[in-house]
Amino acid sequence: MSAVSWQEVERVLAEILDLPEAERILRLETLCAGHADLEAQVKSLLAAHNSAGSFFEPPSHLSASAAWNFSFAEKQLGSYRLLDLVETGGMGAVYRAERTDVRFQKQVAIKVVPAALHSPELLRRFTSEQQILAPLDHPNIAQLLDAGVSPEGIPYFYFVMEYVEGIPVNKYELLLSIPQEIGMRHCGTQTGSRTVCHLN
Amino acid sequence: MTPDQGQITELLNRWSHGDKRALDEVMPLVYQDLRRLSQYYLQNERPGHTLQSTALVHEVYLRLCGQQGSEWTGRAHFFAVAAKMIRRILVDHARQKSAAKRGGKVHSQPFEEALTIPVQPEVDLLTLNEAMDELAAFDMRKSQVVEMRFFAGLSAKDIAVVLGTTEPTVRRDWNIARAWLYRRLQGEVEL
Repeated sequence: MSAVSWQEVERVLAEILDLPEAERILRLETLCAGHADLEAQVKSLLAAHNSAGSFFEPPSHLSASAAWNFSFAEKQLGSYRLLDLVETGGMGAVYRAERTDVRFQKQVAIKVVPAALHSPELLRRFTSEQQILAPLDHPNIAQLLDAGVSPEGIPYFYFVMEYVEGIPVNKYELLLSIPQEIGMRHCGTQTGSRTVCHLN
Repeated sequence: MTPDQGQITELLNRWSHGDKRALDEVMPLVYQDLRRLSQYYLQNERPGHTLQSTALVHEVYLRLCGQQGSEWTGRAHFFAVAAKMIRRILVDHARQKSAAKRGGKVHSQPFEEALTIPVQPEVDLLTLNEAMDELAAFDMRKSQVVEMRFFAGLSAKDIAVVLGTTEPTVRRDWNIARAWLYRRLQGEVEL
């Protein structure tokens, strides 16, 4: 480290970064008047700041919170109308929903996975999750009923499962990211009159 | 086995109320779960594969803490712990990987391979890790801000809660830390 203290550099840099860009250099030179080392340090960091651009910044389409903040309540996905949010998790949100194209209105649970979290790997996992769930028909496993990609303009994947009232959905399992023994362990810890493995 | 949800919430509450030892106790509990999940992702590593660390942390949070009893500050603190863990897991992974590849010689692990946070592809995880340690040596708080923002995707608001400071301070820290790290990673070592 040079003769200049970090505290000094930081103080000046913080102050000029609060200013509009056009005023920074002038203020910097005023603040550092007579301290060539300090001025050189701050200038070099200011240059780094200017070139850093989006260095380290997750682009907005990858921002998980942005994806999670979008509500699908009252939206239509395929043949389903989403009613209300049951649970959110790292990989998406689960809604209570109902079919709109049949007279018999069975309630379902729909898991929506933001395309913001899209990656070839996630898509692959999503697909194989569907394939794994589809043939499963067991009273203790929420049944996969349908799956698809949401309408244009809403870049989400979703899939549909049997809605089981009263299950502790916060015992949230992301099937394909969790080695099986862990998934099973959690299923085993479910309490209540019926142990349900809800693969949302 | 699965740590008791109440236990973790309790420890996080104690930590947020200033009990530093609580952090030491909660770390192993969180680490176990995060590591297992991360390893699962990382073992299946292939070109194009990414570790969605923010999503991962959310999953672990839901698994360990659930929803109830998890006041917002507790959540922020959990994420701060998780950020440390994710950093450690990724750095260990990068070290092992480069050791295996280069017969013991530490070689760069492009960030892209390790997680989705899109830094410039040539940025090396191990180099960044060292740079963050250097930063921590003279400005701990800025290094913590980078850690939480970068490895767990914490918002400025959450980071402010964890560090007991304000959002503008966190933003300022982030800007300055980023400039410093950027310059450091360009090969300049001064300051």
